[in-house]
Amino acid sequence: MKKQNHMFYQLLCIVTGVILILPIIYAINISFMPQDEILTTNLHFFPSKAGYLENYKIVFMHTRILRFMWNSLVMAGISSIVRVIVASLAAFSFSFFEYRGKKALFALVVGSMIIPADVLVVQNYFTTAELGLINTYLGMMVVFFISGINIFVMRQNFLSYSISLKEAAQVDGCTNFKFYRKILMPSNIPVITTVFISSFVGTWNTYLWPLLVTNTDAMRTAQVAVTMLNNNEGSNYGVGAVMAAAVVILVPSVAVFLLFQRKIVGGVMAGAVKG
Amino acid sequence: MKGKTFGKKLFQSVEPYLYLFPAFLLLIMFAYYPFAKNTVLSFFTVNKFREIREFAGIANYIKVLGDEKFIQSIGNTLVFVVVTVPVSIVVGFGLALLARKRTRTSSLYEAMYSMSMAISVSVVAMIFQLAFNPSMGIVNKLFGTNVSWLTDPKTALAAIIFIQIWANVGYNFIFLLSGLRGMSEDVLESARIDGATGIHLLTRIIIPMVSPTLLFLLMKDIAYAMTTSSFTLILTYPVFHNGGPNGTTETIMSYVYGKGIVGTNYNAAFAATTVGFVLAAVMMALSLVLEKRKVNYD
Repeated sequence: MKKQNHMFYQLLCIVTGVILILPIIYAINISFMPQDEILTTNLHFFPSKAGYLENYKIVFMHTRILRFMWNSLVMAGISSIVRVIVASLAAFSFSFFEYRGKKALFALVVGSMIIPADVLVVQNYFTTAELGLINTYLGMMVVFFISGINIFVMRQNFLSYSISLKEAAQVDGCTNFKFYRKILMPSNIPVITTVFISSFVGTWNTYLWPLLVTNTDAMRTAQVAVTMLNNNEGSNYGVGAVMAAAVVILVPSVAVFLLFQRKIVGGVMAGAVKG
Repeated sequence: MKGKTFGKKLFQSVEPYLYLFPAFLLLIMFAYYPFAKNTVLSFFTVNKFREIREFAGIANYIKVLGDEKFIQSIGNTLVFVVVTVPVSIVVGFGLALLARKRTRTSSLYEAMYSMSMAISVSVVAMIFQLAFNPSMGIVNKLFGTNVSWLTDPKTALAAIIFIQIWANVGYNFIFLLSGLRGMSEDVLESARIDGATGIHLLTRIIIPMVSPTLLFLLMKDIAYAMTTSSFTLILTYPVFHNGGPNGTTETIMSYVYGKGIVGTNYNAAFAATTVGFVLAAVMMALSLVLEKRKVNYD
């Protein structure tokens, strides 16, 4: 009896999950349907025949999807690496040194966390334009190089790291920077991974900023491009192809997310809640 | 020799600042400078090259707050916040309660519940744009209705709110799940022995224990929802070229985007940005008042 209940419970949980991801299943199904089947007025949830790949062919042959995904990859990958370096250096300074103005400087970091990024978008766009960075990778990435919350999270982690270890390393003739590079960073791989992955998924998925700072097809990111497949006059590939493109660009972020799911939460929680 | 020690001392005193330099350069350039510049410029009249013409005092604010469309966008944003934030937290919490107990298939449904967190706003927008399409969308086919959900002024905001809730649930779920799993089983067990069940157990024991997580999500969701614009920009701008059908999906930030990026009415855009920031800060402060009363950090 109890075992049966247990099975029923799991079934309930799984059915709830399937209902929640129905929109995704719907998108996948549509991406395998021919246009006339999508347009019928009766309900076709599943494609009537399997193996219709025309929509994917359109996406890969007629749009520059690989280029768009490359742009997204460059933007998300490099900016996340830079963010890890910038944030860890700052956190290193905050957790291992004593100096004048440290508290005030740290307050500036915390203060920046309460300014929502979207509030800054218009002014940052002008700054980026004035620097001549429109339609460049640097322009697409530059606002993602910094995140107050990442500095905060890393500092939390570094603080639990004994300061006596740094002193011991110094006795052995290790400079501060060498300590950061050879000891501190390698022994904090979990938090570094967390910051990197959450930053990567976030930047890969971002829409508004790359929309603003790019206006040529060659520099579009996947997220911006997918909305344009539908909206651009004269380049209507059909809804099936839009869904196929959506599925294609959804795969990398979902894969990374599923692989590192626990890490993402662990790291953000460490700083955000206990702090 | 003496020079060397002097150099070394100098280096020692500036070293910690060197490590901070990249972070602060960026923080100032892309957070504090734009924030300050926007605030200062909002008190001046600027031309379409954003050059200061004259001091305007609060004239820009009076003007923008006198714009019916902006007032409407504030109303829409508040409705958006008041509906999406609590509903997506409650749904996420319900799912977390359901998934709390580990079973053999836990990882399967945990992944399904949190999935929406990994999906970008533009992909979500594309999927729901099709689902809500009046002729080929699944929503009308399923319910036998004939509504143009995203273009009808009566339903457009509700449709966007629905989409946002779906998009938020995964995030809220995953944080609340780790909050729930972090609770000590002993406390739960002794509460059960004391006869606490159902609603009582939930409101007296479980909710206070995960209140730090709830507060964190509340702050984050409010900040996000107060400055939201993506779904409006993707789903209704291409059709209406402004805030949706009769302005019913215009949010504060999509209004700013329309004035400052699409148009060149910077006086309105800068003042509206400040109003948006202040309102977001007020909403967050209100949830902090809640923290003082309810949140339990033990």
